Formats: sequence, C-alpha cells, structure tokens
Amino acid sequence: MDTSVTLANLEEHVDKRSPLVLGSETFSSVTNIVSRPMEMTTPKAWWICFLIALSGLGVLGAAIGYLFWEGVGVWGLNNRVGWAWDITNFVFWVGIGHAGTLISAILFLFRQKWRTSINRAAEAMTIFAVICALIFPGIHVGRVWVAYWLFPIPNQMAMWPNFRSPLLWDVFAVSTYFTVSTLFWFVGLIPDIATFRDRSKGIRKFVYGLFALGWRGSHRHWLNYERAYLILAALSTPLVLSVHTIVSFDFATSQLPGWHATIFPPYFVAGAIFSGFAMVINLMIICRWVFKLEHLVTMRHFENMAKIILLTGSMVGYAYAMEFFIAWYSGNPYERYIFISRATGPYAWAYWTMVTCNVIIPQLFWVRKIRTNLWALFIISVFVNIGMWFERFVIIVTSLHRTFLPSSWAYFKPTYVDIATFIGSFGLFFTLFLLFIRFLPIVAIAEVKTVMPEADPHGHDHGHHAKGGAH
Amino acid sequence: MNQKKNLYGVLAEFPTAPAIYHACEKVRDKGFTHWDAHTPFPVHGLEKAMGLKASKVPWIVLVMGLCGASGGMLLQWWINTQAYPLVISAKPFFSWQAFVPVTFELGVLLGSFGAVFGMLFINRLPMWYHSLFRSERFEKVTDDKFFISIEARDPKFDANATSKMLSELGATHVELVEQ
Amino acid sequence: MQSENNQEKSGKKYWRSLEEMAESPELLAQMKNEFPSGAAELEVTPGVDRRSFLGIIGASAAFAGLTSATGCIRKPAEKILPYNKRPEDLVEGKPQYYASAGRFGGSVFGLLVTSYEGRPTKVDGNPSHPMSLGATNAFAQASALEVYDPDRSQSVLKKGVAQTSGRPDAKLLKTTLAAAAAEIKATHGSTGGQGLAVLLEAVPSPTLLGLLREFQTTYPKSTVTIHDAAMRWNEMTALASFGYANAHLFHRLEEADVVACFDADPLGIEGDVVRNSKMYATKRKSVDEAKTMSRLYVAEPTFTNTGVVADHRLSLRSSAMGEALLALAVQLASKGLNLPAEVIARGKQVSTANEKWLKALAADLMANQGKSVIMVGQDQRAWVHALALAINSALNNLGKTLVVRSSPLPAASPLHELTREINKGNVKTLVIIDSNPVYTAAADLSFADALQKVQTSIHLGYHADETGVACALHFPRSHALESWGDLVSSDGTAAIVQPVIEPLYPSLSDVEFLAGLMGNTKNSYELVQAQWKKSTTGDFDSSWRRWLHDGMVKGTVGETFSAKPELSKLAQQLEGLGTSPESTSTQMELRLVLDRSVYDGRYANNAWMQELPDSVTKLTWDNAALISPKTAKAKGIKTGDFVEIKLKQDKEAILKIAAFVVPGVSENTVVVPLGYGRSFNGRVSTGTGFNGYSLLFGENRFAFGADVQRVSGTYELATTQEHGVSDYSYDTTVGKEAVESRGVTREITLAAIKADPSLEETFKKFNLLDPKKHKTLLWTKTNTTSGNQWGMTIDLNSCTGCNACTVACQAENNISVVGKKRVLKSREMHWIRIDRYFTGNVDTPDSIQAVFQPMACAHCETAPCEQVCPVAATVHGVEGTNDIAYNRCIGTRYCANNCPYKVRRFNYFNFSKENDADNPLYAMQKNPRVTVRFRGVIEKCTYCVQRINAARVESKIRGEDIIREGAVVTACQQVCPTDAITFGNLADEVDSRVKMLKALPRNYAVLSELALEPRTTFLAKVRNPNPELESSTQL
Repeated sequence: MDTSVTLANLEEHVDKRSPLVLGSETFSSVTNIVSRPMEMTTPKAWWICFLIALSGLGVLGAAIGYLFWEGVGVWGLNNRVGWAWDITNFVFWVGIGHAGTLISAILFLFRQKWRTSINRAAEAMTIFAVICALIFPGIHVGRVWVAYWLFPIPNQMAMWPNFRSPLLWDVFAVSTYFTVSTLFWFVGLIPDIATFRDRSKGIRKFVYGLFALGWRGSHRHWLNYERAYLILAALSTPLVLSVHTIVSFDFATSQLPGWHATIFPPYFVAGAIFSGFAMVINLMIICRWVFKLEHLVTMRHFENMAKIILLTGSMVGYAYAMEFFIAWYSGNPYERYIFISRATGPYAWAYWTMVTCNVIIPQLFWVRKIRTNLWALFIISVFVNIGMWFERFVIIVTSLHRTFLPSSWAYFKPTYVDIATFIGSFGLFFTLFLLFIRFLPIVAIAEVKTVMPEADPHGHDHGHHAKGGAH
Repeated sequence: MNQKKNLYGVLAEFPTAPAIYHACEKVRDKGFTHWDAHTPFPVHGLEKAMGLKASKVPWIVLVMGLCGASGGMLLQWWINTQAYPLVISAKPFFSWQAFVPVTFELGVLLGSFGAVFGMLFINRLPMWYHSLFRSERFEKVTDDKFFISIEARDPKFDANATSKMLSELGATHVELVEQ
Repeated sequence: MQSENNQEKSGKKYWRSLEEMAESPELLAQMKNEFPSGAAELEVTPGVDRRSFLGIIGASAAFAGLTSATGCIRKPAEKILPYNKRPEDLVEGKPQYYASAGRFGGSVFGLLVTSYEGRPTKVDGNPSHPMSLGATNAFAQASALEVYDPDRSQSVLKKGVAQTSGRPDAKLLKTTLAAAAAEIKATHGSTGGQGLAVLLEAVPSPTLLGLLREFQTTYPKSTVTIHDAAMRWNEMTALASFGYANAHLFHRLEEADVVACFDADPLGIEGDVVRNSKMYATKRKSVDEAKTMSRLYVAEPTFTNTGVVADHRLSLRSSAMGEALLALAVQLASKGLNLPAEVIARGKQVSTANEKWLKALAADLMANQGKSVIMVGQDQRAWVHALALAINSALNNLGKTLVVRSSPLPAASPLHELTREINKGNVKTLVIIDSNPVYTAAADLSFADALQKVQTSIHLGYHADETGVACALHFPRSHALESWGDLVSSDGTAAIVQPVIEPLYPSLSDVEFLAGLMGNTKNSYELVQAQWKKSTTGDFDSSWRRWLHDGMVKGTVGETFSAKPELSKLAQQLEGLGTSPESTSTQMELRLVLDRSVYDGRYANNAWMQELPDSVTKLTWDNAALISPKTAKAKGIKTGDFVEIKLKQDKEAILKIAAFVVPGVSENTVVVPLGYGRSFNGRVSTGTGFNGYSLLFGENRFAFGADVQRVSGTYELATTQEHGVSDYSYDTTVGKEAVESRGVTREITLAAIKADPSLEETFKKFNLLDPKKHKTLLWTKTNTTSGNQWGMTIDLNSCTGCNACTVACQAENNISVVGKKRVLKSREMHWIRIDRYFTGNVDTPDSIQAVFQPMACAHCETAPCEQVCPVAATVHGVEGTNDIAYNRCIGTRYCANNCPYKVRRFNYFNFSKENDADNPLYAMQKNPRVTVRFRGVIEKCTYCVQRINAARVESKIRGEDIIREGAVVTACQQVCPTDAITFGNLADEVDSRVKMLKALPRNYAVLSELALEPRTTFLAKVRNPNPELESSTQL
C-alpha cells in the first residue's frame, strides 16, 4: 500500500487540513480514475476474491437449505435460549449497515465534504449488509413457508399481524430502511452512471444508458435533484437512528433482565456506527489499494473515520459501565445477578472478548501514528467488528441463559450449521460488494468534482485548497 | 431569416465553471426562456445565474409523508379496533404508543418515494432520447465540459444571432442541434 | 391372508367410515379370527397410519354384536360396562370411562380408564375406590402408553426363537399352551408335582391365587416362589415373629400427627403411595383452618419424596437405621415408655451421633401416643422392623395409625430358596408367571445359570425379556387393559379388572396361562366370573354388573389382627447382633434403590417414564451413582465422571457407572437406582443407564464396604434442571438464588403463621416490591368479561414432587418425547415440570433442604408472551386463558424468550411425527381432543382447554352459561395424590374453591413484582419444625 505520498502530504499540512483530492487531479482525470475499474480488464485479484466469496455464498445456500429441510433444531437453540446466532447475526449486519447511511446522510447534512469520496462505497455496503441482515429474521422462524404472515396482507382468515410486537416494528423498520437506502443510493448513482454511459460502447452503453434514465446534466434537473437528495438525506437521518432504536426495542421492551434497559437505543446506535465505520475502513483500504484511489480516498478520510470509531467506541464502553452501575443501583436482584454472571459466569469469555475488542483496543486511536497507519487501521477495525458481534451475542445469549427462574438456567452451544450460516452471510456480502466495485462507480464522481477548487464558479486565484475542505 | 423546421436549438460548450456561470447570467439577462445549462456536477449558485425558481419537490414529500404516517396509524387503528380486536397482554385495543414506530416508518417510506419519484416526474425522467444526445461533444457533459443549450422554440431564438452571442460569451465551440 | 397381502401391496388403506369398513369382507375375515391382525400390520409395516388401526379397533368394538353371529372375538359376547354411561351411547369422539384396577409399584388401586372408539388413551384413579380416591401415580399414568409398547411380546418363543412368520398366530398360542400342559401332566402327574415349581410376582388376585391353589392340589409337591420388587419379606418375618402369620402392615396416616420414617418412603415409591399421600395431605392442609399440622421426621441416606417434604430430615445411612432406632428406644424408655429391658440394654451399647435429633423425636412421640407412627423401609432387616413394631405398639399406635392385616398372598419361599433347589437339581419344570428374575435376581444367585439347569422352563411375560428369551418356552402376556382379572388392595378391597380393548396381539392373561397349564381352556372372563360366583350369594349377574360399574366389590375388607404383639419375642430377634461399627465407620456404603421412573426396570421400555425427570436429581434416560458433594470432592469425582463400584462379598462384583453429585446423600454413601442397563433390546430401553442388580447381593438392597473409585472417561447425563450451571454440585447457588434472593418458592413455618396470621411481615423478605405498589398498570386493563374466569392454585405444602402430573399432562395433551440427545440440549417438551431447589450447606447433609415447585403456564393476565408475538398467534381468551393458535404460529420463539417462567416449549423438529415413526403404536394413545403439534410451533399448558370445552358443552345442554364448580378438572389436578392443584372459576362468587384458596394469606404469585397477574398462584410451603430442633433447620 502506498502510504508514503499521503503521509508526506499530511506532514505538509499540519497547520491546516489537507485537501480532499490530492495531486494535480482535473475533472477528467477524476472521471478516468473512477472509471478505471469498469474499463480495465478484470484483475486476477478480483477473480480470486470473487470465487472465494461465491463459495461462501454456496455455503450459505447449503446451510439454509438444510435448515429448511430439517427445522430450526439444526441450530444449537433450546427452550431456554430461543435466540442465539440467528438474531446476533441479524443485529450485527444491520449495525454494519448504519455507517453507510450515516456517512451519506448525516455527514451530508453537516456539510462534511470529506464524505464525498467514501459515501458511495459506504452506501453500497449499507444495502448489502441489510440484505445479509434481512436473511436471518426470515429464516429463524419455525415455519419459514408462512413467514409472509409478518406483513399486513389481507387474507381470507381476516388475520392481521400484531402491531404491538417489536418484531413487527422490525419488519417495517428494516424493510423501509432497505428501500430508502437503495433509493438514496440509486439517486446518487444517476449522474455517474450517465458518465459511464457516455464513456462506454455497445451493450454496456445500452445498459448504463437504461439506468442513467437519460440524464443530461441539465441544471434545471440538478436543481430538483439536489433538493431531492437533500430531503432523502434529511429523511434517512431519523430513519437510520430509528432502525437501530427499534432493533434495540426487541430487547428493551421485553421483560428479561439484561434486555429490559432504557439505555439500549442510544447504545445500539452508537454500536452500529462503531462497527459500520470499522467495516467501511476495511473495505475502503482494500478498494483504494486495488484500484489505486489514493488521491481520492486520502489519509484524512481514514483519520476522520478512526476518530469516529474512537468516539463511538468510548460511548459503547460508557454504556457497558452504565449497565453495571444501574444493575447495582436499581437493587434489582435479577438485574444484578445477570450482570455479575456476564462478567464471571459461563459466558465470561465472551464478555471479556467484547470488552477487549470494543473498549480497550480502539483506544489505540488516540495515537496519531496508529490512526494514520493503514495496517493498524485495518487490524483494529477487524477487532472492532469481532467485538461488536460478541456484544450482540453477549446481550442475547447471556441474558437468556440466566433468566428469572434458576430452574430454567441453561447453556447454549452452536452447531456447525450456526457457524456455516454466519460464514455464508459474509460470502453473500462480498459477492455483492465485488460485483459493485467491478461495474459501478465506487466514488461519487460528480460529488467529488464539486469539492475540487476548480468547481467554484467564483474561483480565479489558486490559494484555494484550504477552502475546498474548510466548509 | 429562414430556420430549418427540424432544428432543436443551439449548443455552446464552455471550458470552466466560472465561464458558464457568467455566460448564464448574460443569457438570463437577454430574457431567454427555453434554455438550459448542462454541467458534469451541480455548479453552486448556477440557478441564480439562470434565474430559476425553487424546486417543488419538498411539497410532494410533505404530502406523501403525511399520507404515509396518517395511513399507517389509521390502518393500525382499524385492525385493532374494527377489523379484528384481540385482547393482547390486557392492553387497550388502540394502544397508540405501540403503533408509533410503524407510523413513523411508513411516513418516512412514502416521504422518500415522494422525493425520488417526485424529482423524476418534475424532471420528466426517464427520457432515454433527447436531441442533445445527437451531439458528439455533448458526451463530455458528464466529464469535464459545460454547455448551454438554447431551444429553437424560444421566441428570441435566431440560429445565427444566438450562436454568435454564445461564442461572444466565451463558448469554445458552438453547434446547431437537430431534433 | 390374501386380503392382507393385497393390503400390503396397496400400501396405506383408509376407510371412509366405520360402516364401509365393517362391510369390507377383509375386516369380517379379520373379525372371524380370534384377534384383529391389523395390530400386527401396524407392527410389521410401521408406515401404516393411526386411522386405519383406529378403524379396525373402532369397528371391532362397535360391531361386536353384529359379528357375534359369524363366530366373533369371544363367545358368548361379553358385556363390559362403562363407569356411569350405558355402552349403547357410543358417540364417536366422545370418550367412555371404564372402572378397573391395577397394581403399580406394589400398590393396588382402582382405576378409571378413558377410551375413545375402543382405544384406551388415559388411565386415572377411580374416585370411589378407597385406595386411589381419584388419584394415581406416574406408573399408572404410564400404563396408558405401556399397552401400546411396540416391543411387547407378540408370539410364542421357543428357546428365544419366535415361532411365527412375524404374523401373530392365535392357534399356535393355544396349541403350544396345550402341549405344555400335557408335558407337565406327563412329567409331574405321577409324582404329584415333584420337581415342579411356580414363580410369580406378589399379585393379590383372587382368581390367580385360586387357580394356584387348584394347581397345588393337582400337584401337591409343587413349590410356589414369590419374587417381587415390592415384596416386604423382612416385615413379614418380623410380623411372623410376633405371631402374625403371613401378614403385612397397613398405615393410616390420616390418624398420625407425628410420622417418623426410617429409610422408608411412603410418599415416594414404597407401598400404598397414592393413599398415603392423600392421607398425609389431609394432615397438612389443616394448617389453613385449624392452624395445626402433622410433623414428619425422616432419616434416610438419600433424598426421597418423603425426605424432601419432611419437617426434619436426618441424613443417615441405611446400615445405621437399626441402631438409630435402638437409640430412640432408649430415649423413649428414659421418658417412661415401657419397652423390654433387653432392648434398652442393647440400645445402651450403641453410640449415636444424632442424640439431639432422636431426643426431640422421642419427646414428640411420647406427646402423641396413639397419634404417631414409626415407619421402617422395606429393605431394613427383620429385627429393625420388629423393633419398630414394638415401639409402635408400646406407643399405643397399633390399631390406630397402623394395622396388621393378613396378606392375601399364599405362603411362599423367596427366590434364593428356589435357586438353591434348582442348583441341587430338584427342579425339573419351572413355570414363571410374569416375572423377570434373570434380570432382577440378586447377582450372587446367578439365576441365569441356574435357569439353564431346569429341563423345562415356561415363561409368561409382557415382553420377551431377559427371562423370556432364556426360557425354553415363552408366552406373550395380555396387558391389564386387555384382559379380565381381579385384584385385592392392601386394605382388603377387591376390584374387578376389566379390559377396554381387544388384545393387540394373540396373548394370554396370567389367569388364562395358569388355567391353560392345567388343561383348562377357559378365557379370563369365564375364569374371573367362576372365581367370584363361588363367593357370591343371590343374583350374580346384577352384583357383577354393580361391581364393574363401581369398580370394586362391595363388602370386601379382608382380615386384621387385633391381638397385641408379645414384645418379649423381640429379645431373640436382637440376640447375636453384636455392636456393629457401621454407623460410625468411614467405609463406603452401597445403597440400591428402586427407581422413581422405571421402578425395578419394568418401565424401562416406556418412553414417558424414561424421559420423566427424577424428582430429586432431575435425571432422565439414565440412572447414575449418586454421591454427596463432600464425598465426591474427597474422591475427586465430578458429575458425569465414570466411577467403578467394587463390592466384595462371597464373590466380587464390579459396576462401571457414571457419577452424579447431588446434595442430601449421606457421607461415604453411594446410591444406585435399579432398573436400568437392561439387556432386553427394546427400542426405548436400549442404551439407558447401568444395571444396578449386578451389585445386588442377597435380599438386602444395601451393602457395606463398597469401594468407589473414579476411573477414566466421562458420560453425558441429561438433566432437565441446571443445564450447564457451572460446577453446580458444589454449592446450592441455584437454590439460594431461587429461594432467598428471588422468593420464587416461599417457605414459612407453622409458628410464623400462628404469630402473624396475615403473613404480611413474614412475606416481606420475599417481596422485592411492596405488593400494593406493583399492582398499578400504566393503562386500564382490557378486561375479559366472560362469566367463566379460570384460575389455579398449587399448594407447595402438599406437593410431594411425585411427577404424576407431568405424565398425566403428557398423556392428556399428546406431548411428544424428544429423547436423551435433545434433553441434553434442553429441548424437553413437558408442559408441567417440577422445579426442585436445594438450600443449605452441601457439606453438612443434615442442613440440606429441598423444595418442589410444579411449574406450568401461569396464564398471566398481562401475559408478556402475547405482546411480543408478531402474528398474534398467542392471545387472551375471553375466559382469561392464554391461548395459542398453533396454525397461526410461525415460530419466532420470541414469546418463549419473554416468558419469565420459561414454560413455553418449541417443536424444534417434527417430534410427534418422529415419535410415531419410532414407535408405530404410540399414535394409538393420542387424545383425539387435543391437536397434535407439528414442526416449528410453540406449545404450552392450555389449562386443558379441551376439558373446559367439553364441560361447556355439558352446561350449555343444561342451558347454563356458567360452568359449574368441579365440572372442569385439569389432568394434573385429577391425578394429584395430594390434591395440591386446584382449578376453577374465579368469577364464581359462591362456591369456587380456587377463589377461596387464593384468598388465603399464604397465596402468592411467583415473580409478583413483574405485575404479570398470573392466574396460577402458589400457596407457600409450611414446615412444622420441632422448636427443639429449630436451629438445625435452614431458612
């Protein structure tokens, strides 16, 4: 990975922020860089990754097929621990998704221009993560073939879903989230697909043309387009917060000690952003390296994301501490017992893995050398995601395995089907992501151009770099 | 002056954002109505330079959003009190507190539909054929070139005069586009 | 048969209606032969579904009259009378009830059998029978499944080889029996039965014993041996020594204010458990009105049901019981009780560590003369029984709290005498009636080898079991629900055993068998009638009908001995005992006990009993060597480790068995339940547990000087509690949490009730929140306004944790069995489970106390399960029940997660389908009124909604909207031997018993602070400790 340029570049601008686009890039060179993946002959590396991902997808298919054939019993669940890896994976993937929306929507509203080079990939990640997430509530039910009863479809039984159930809120929240994210992503893509249309020939031109909807850069269009984009961002912001809030309601609104906690919504959202950014870092480091995007995805982007991880990681850590405090302060023996047993009981190993990965390791980001070292960034981000998976596991399983009646205390052991399903979901995710980076602009071309100094209609002088990013 | 029947209009190419910005101000001041600017990215403030009115998209979103939300709450009210009332955890049939999340989500969902499809509708998109696509150079509009197109149906339009004016405004290349 | 071949070719065959089926020539063909061979088809082609079988059975019942002309099942046609309905009104889907009787765990009591279209589906107690009073035990419940055991013997075996081509052959059965009879006549006719021996169980059946007498008159020199797990030889010997020949003791706990059990388990599996429990309960329930309660002292080596409910429990090894009793005698004498001097002299020699305990007991006994009883376990030596009887007599209890009754059984010799004779070569022919000595005989007898020395061995058995295959000749036995018979219970009441179904396979009842061996080919119906005709004056038919209807024979009481025992006779009993070191020695004692699930092994092939969690260990599908935590620690043994138990007497026996560390076991004691590790390869029993009989020497089930060592390897034990509670065995965290921090089970003392009648103060320590506070809800409740509002109370004070409710519920509600592997994954399906919590310090067994808490769906008014179900599959009924629509359930399991009582059960696989595939006949037992659940849905207690609806129909017919009190009895309530469970209508202001109970101060809701307002509430357990021993009791 070529870190020398960017580091040197950072050194130069200790006093003021480094620009968002480095080197002497022009509009057309930006277009060229982003179009390269689409135009180059498919690199071997891509094929290798794709085949690995595909086999992962195969594993998922097999695992799910077996599940459907035999029944939910092929997982390690039991009558005390009714949810384990299934819902853990669901929450994990939904969480991953959140960073995408956060970058594209919230940072957009806050006029954080540095988002432009990473938001496209991040949004794609959101959509694919949500697809992975949606699988699990779908397949965890005992009778998959009637899972559609979750939707309010008029039927001859005159039966309707129960709108009091957080699980139903989930259905609405996550499917809305998926739809809106997809629309948001597509709207952002229209001008860039038009770019691809205008650069490609034959069948490709036709296909891209189809999705470009006949975009011709008309400023009368840009006017409505930007307004719509802004509104979508404005809608996505509360949406993304609501989604993980509602996911946390699955637990927060139920009776169980360890689930029944008002701190969950903010704590889940922070955790989601935390893990999401970690995933973005992992993905962007790879894309940047494979497709030579150093000048568009700069060290400053990574550093900002590292800072967000540091912040949200600390928030999560605070939440852990606060849970314990409340457990003690409430004087509720059930609450108290469950938290003591988390830290000392049969699942202590899981708990301490979580704390190490989520609270302790990210603290390394206080050191600038570390948060600007791609290797460190990559490894720490991996740890963060491991930690966040365990957070969900700890919340779900340890709470269920020590409930109100000591007679019903049990232990959960995963089966190989549990494990295969989880691994398989990564296969699905990367299959989709690899297809995306191969055929679609991974960087928002038009948006990047707007943050280049040349984009300023009033800009004549050239001392303008700072202004480019200073908004 | 004689005009070709099948003429769409004139297309002028500009090299930079400032260039097209100033050109637009001029065209606007000349009182043209059926004209447009084409840019690879939204050039800030260009709508002022072109004298365009604010977008109507927000209103569509507002209406749709309200429909979604109220429809959502109405549906839940109807199901739980009219269609099939069930005693669940001894809670009131119309437990509006529990119905808020779904209400909200439906509001957002329809709102975003409003934003996206409203925008496409106002922009008359998708429109896979457009006369401007006849121009070779126009392909650059999604890359690094800026264009102004003035349509023939504009009352002030005159093929030669308008072309001349545009090149005076600093266009690096001016061409007539057929329908 | 041609038709059958066709049927096999065409695979499954359905009848659209009984009529259509009845006309089918095929059926008539089947009807002509003695037994409907549909049963066999079921067996040989497991694919055959339940409907076709039901068709056959249904038709055979419905068309008994029709086919009689064509030479039918039996001639002359027999009438079996429904309990209180006329047989004519057989309405499909409407059950009929038949009175009968059965012998379970050595106790005989009256039964009431539920039958749907000729299929017995449930066995309950006969309310008017004095020994059952409507209740039953787990064994009786399980017999509803036993009759459909697919591994039951189906054909004659010669030297263990089936004599049929897999298709039952009634003719062969008869001819073989006739041949056997002829052979016996040939060999023994001349010698008057020289070398002819009969071995049978202690079945108090007048007809059978009458035939036996007949047999002995035919063959005067023949010998009779009784071998039975429940046989109380030592007690008989003791009684005989006092001049009570062939007698047994009958206890009347309803009269006893102080009960002292020494190694006895009258509320568990020893003796007349059902009656004892009923009577014991009456003395506990009095706490609410009269504020009085009996006091129960128990000295035992390991927790029994009796020990768990005891007010004072002394952990004492079986070998030390006698000495403890002697010490007690000394205490009593010192308090002025008149006991023989020799006894006192002898007693002075023993030193006991438990003086305080015995002193307190002695004081209580003295204070309650004539209102107390000392009970001694059947495994204790004769002199201990004698001593106990002496003390009871001196305490003037004889004739009040216990009665000496003459036994209906003939004078007979125990098994070891028979074996001796066989080894001497004195036995040519051995007739074994429904006993399995090859498996259950003591190891030192090595009966299997002895059996080979017998020329002709003839066996009648329900299974082709260990003995069946070892004998020269084996005959299949009909189930008690398939044949006529009669039984006398220990209080002398006689009852007729009526069949409710045709034998599924050609088989013989024990009376038919014994008669057959005398060349008498009468069937059981004729034999039983013949027996009773003898003792009947007047119109036999009418009285016969009356007996069948009542389920017992009026006026049968048996004899009691009124003479006082001559205590002087006690002296020679105690002679030559010598002072044994046993009570103090640190040598390991081995204690073999009858198992609470499989008894002596006879229920080992019954899936319900195998999966039934043991009352104390909660162990399913296995037995294990029970060791106390302290001893285990000393020996470095953990639960699941393999241990080797060596026992060296005249020969050495070794058993490799898994260890189970459990509080309450005496130090230096290892307890091994019997009845597992059978070599009989039943599809259920195979691979369950370890054979404790291999350690059994002589008649005593406890032995001294066993060597217990941990050996390599571990074994998975499937318990239904403490799944994966880390290192549970070394502390009682679970109990402490449950009882002390969480107040799940509430235990108070009689003294507390007297001091604080409202119990407000007493309950404070259990309430996490002020009860007044947590009643408030954020919303106004949507009330269910129907006139029937169902509710239940469970009295922890009466519950003896006997598990009968669990099996009854399983029988009533078609609950699937899941198997050991899935119990290990804690996927068991029982709707009502019995939680057991220990408290106290595990290192001092005396301080350990346990408490039982039956737990099923509590039907919370603000049910947490309902609000989380995304498809509204579980909602509230108008009558306050928490209902599930199985076919609406999509199986998210969210409700199970959110249920604080964890009573919801999920069908992780298609359990019911698998059950039917594994055991083709089990489908026959299913209750047609209850949905059979399928894969992927949640299930749980429904308050027996099918019974509620049946009662609703009845009351609607009477034009009433409110269902009368007592019209609905849930399965668990019906079976409960202590009436701990009460169910009824809370909206019934007038005579609702459950409403009255809920008004009691000791009524409480588990986890009340969650404001669930459960419809099932509990009545706190009350212990009645002796003030002198207060300190030693926990809590």
